[in-house]
Amino acid sequence: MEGTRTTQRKRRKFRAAPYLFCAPFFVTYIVFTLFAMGFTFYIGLTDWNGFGEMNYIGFDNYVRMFDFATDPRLLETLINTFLLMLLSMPVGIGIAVFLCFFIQKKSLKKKHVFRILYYLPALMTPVAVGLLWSILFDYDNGTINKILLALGIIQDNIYFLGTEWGCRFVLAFLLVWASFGSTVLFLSSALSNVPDEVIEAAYIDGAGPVRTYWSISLPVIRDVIIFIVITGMIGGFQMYDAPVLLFSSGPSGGLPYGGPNRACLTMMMLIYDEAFNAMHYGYGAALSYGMFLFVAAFSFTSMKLMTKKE
Amino acid sequence: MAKGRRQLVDKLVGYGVLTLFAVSTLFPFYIMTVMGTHVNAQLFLKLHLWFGQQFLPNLNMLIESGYFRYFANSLTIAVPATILTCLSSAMGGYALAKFDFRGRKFLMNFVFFTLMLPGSLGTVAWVWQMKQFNWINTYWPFIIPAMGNTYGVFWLSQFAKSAVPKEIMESARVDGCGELRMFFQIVMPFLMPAVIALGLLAFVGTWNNYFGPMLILKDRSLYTVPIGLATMGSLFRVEYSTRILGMTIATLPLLVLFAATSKHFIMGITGGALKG
Repeated sequence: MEGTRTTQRKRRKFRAAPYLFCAPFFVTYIVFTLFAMGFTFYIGLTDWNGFGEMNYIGFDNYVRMFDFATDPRLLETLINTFLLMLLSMPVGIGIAVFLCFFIQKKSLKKKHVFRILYYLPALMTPVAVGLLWSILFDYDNGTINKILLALGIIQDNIYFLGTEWGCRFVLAFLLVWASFGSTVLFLSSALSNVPDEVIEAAYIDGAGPVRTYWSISLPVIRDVIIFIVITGMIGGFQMYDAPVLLFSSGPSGGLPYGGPNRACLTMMMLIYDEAFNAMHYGYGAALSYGMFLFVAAFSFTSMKLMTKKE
Repeated sequence: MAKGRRQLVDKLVGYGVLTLFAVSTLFPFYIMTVMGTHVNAQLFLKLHLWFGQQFLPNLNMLIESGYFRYFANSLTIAVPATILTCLSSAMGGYALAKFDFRGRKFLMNFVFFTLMLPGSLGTVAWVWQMKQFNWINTYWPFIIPAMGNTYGVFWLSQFAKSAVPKEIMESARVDGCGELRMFFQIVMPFLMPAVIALGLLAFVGTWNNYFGPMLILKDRSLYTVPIGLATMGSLFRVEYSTRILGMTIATLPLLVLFAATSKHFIMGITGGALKG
């Protein structure tokens, strides 16, 4: 009784402070981010073209984007993202699991240097990454083609970015390069939380280092994989800079927006193209919610799977 | 003796594999740096694996193209945006973690829920809103909204819970310490590791941002580094070798920052989960 009264008195005494401390974040978040999200939904209900009046047209835009017979692009971006993740994630996660076997070894020193080096690509400005890869994988002048020719692996240049699957592989390769370092960071941080006794017990039971790593790291790896898959997928939907620059201005000339047959078109690229290039703000806004729907559905099912297993 | 030898082999294999991957990871950086030092006319004639003689002429062309204006513009945005993100996140996180007030639980749930919203959901209306604010062609759209960093507040609140000892706060309060002094002089030092980590992430995010500035900044004199790099070739006909040198220089501040503060940085990326 006494205790609650003093805390109540304390609470009353410092009442204004916590609200004032919270205010900068909550006010800016609500005024800018949250308001914009809500108002985007409203714009989706109009035929706004960016300049004139916003005329209410009901749910036309929201219905139209799921009519894949007339506009298949939303479905295409969904498939593209799935394919891209299917191509890049197993490789990136595989590399990270393999490298962490050596990184978690107690006998190796200075391992943090490697972790830092692996992470560097993730820091590079995505615009510069897209430009660099458009040069590396260029048809006539690309570094990769030159290296393959010099090694005698190929006789003629490969038109990497000119075919649907070629550009998917290039973009997947770019993603692996840019993101396996962060998987290494998350995985090694999760592995360092495994108690030493567990590892020693496995050794005493006669398990070799590979066997021990596999059995102790599997449960850890599962959690990290779920996390990486969810964040990677959400990032994949919203990816914009690198795929745009990849096709915009290679030395052999520009390619179509989103690559040949829109094979590398992402959801964010579609939204940008509709709203800010074609000036269909209403439809672009509706597409934003199409993207949100996929993100939400995907996160929800992944989290469901995660909690079920535990 | 045999055991020692085995350990040595193990070590060599370990370092060998790790180094091999590190070298492959750095190879594109290396090629980029090398290409920026060659004369444009010969850039694509053959494979360049070693540095050329054209670094200074290329740099000169880069300066003439107004590149360092973009550089200064990027800093003008990134520095205040980073400071404001850190301040609002530290204050909000501290209040949510260390005060017991009406609505705290609701606000915590609010933060947790909004953490899952994709940031680009509101882009279309955001551009409309910036027009209403008359903020087109200004830097405000990247500085003021930066304070609404959900990840920052969430993480700082988690961090503040364990990092700031209650006893020190209580004894300061007994001594009649005011709320502002309490935050800046007593709480802030405990939050500093997380604040630095968040600041680094915020800086990189703002520095690399292309999508937002592309929608808001129309005057070339206001361009940031990413827009500058993207438009250099198509609009302003800057040569490839010069442009590639620009890409290298754009990446440099981030690499230096990361190398100098990697411990904090890694903590920011993994949300403080990393121990070793």
